[in-house]
Amino acid sequence: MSNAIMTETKKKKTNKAERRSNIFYAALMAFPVIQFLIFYVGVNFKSFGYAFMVQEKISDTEIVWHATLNNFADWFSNSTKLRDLLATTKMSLVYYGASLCVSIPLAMLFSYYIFKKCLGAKLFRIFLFIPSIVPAAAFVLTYKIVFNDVVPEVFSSVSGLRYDENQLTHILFYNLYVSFGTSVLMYANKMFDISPEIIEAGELDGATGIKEFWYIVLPLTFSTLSVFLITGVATIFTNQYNLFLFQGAPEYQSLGYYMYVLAGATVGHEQEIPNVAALGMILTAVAIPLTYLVKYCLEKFGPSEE
Amino acid sequence: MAMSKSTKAKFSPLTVTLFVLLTAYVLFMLVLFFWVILTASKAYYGDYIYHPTVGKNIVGWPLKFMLFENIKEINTGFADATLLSMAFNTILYSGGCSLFKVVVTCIVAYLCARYSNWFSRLVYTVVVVTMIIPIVGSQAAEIQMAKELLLYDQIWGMWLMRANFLGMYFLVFYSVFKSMPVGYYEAAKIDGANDWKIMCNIALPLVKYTFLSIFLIIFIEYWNDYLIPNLYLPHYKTLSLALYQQSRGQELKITRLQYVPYVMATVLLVTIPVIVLFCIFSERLMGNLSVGGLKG
Repeated sequence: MSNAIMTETKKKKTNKAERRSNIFYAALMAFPVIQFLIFYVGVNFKSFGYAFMVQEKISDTEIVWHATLNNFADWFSNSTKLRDLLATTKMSLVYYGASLCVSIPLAMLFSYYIFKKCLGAKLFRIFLFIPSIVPAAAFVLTYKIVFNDVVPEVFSSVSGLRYDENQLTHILFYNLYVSFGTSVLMYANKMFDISPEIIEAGELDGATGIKEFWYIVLPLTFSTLSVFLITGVATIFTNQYNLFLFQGAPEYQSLGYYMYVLAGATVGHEQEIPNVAALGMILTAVAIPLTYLVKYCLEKFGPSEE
Repeated sequence: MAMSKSTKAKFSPLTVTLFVLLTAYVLFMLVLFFWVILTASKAYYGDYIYHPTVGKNIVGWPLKFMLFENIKEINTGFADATLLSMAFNTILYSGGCSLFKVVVTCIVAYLCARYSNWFSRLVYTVVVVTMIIPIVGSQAAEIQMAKELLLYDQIWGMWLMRANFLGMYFLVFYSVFKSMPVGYYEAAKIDGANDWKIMCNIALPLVKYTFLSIFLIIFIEYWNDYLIPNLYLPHYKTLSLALYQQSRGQELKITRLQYVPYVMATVLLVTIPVIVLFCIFSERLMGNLSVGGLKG
């Protein structure tokens, strides 16, 4: 009898403690969840809704919204919009291609250099990180002025070095130059997790330099690399490549910058939002399967850590 | 990170090539930085251009050290703000946004790691899915939403809008909390500590360095941000945005501030605080943040 009472009391205590835990959990989760529901779910639903609506002004004070699919069709039937969309898509692919083919391999190699603790590795690690902390506004403006004013002054016999003469090359070079900070840090940290025994075994088998990098280090760092490759797909659609600061020619606009300019133009002009929202949906419809395709390919064909 | 024989430096054609590339990288940055300091210290007329003896003095030493005079002019040269008010706005914006973001991310990661229930699993999945699925072009709707909720053009509004738990840093906090021995919590529970005390006195102190690292990284991101203030905070000029506007000759009371030495002086003013932060906390900022892979 007394055992039963004790068990019952214990159960009550546990239930009370569990209830307290649940209240604590719910109280702390409440704000983040509400924030997420408003500013992620709500905003995206709102954007989704705008994409299917058009504003009609009945009078100076009365405005009505109608459902329509024209916002999507407009991006393909309006020749100016289509031309802009194709041009910005092409440029985004150029920027992404440069990042994929030059920036990521170089970042991996620089990380390998740091991992091998070669001459000046610590110093290089710091300098590679600095562009991630220096304000882009400061860096881009300095870069532009140096290439427009200083370089022609110092190398007066060499032509074509000015930023204004060769904008695309400079935009590509600058974005490559500042791209190493976080990625090198992450890759190098992952490389330091590789067991020294594996490296030593590779060295005994004659794997040094490029062979060591290719056959040992790269596969063992691949999980981190794949994170950058998968999330990198989104940059095709979102990265602005500092074009706002470069103020380059319109033909060098990326999709991310184009979307930013369009979004800016909607401030105070609500009737413009459906147009931008529809483009956002079109791009999202391309970005999601593309991201999953890259993820699938990396999982299926990428090297295994085993 | 202990150096073993096998990972010690070995000079191969690959490492030599990388050394040359990296040295060029560092030299380029040093030259830029050195040039910024020299140029920020020059007068525009009579030194940077129209130098009395050399004509243009774009790369030479300053004729007279003018940095502080240049800064003084910048302080009063903007149409509707002083350097002090812009610095104040920048600190409010970057400090508030980063603090809200890190606190929310840290607490949600703790709850998900410590309390294994269906909701925690859902939150974790949401974070991973939103990292993988890129939703493009919702900024216009976000601005509209901010206006409707009266958060537009308010710094505290930006704090609320940025107080989310999404992104890579959730995974960093989550993995740190997950790696903590459960025995810590159980021992505290036996000693009579409630959930609040366990979180505040046991869990959070153990992640204080991770918290500081992430806070600093996000603080610097917001300090450098000019795109969001440009769209969302038209009446709160931040330093980065002011630098951009200065270089374009916008919003200036003294129009000559758009000339190179003045712009470089502002470049120094915007950059020095983050460089100082970096010098103090470089190991924290470049510490052991790593990401293993994306599941889901």
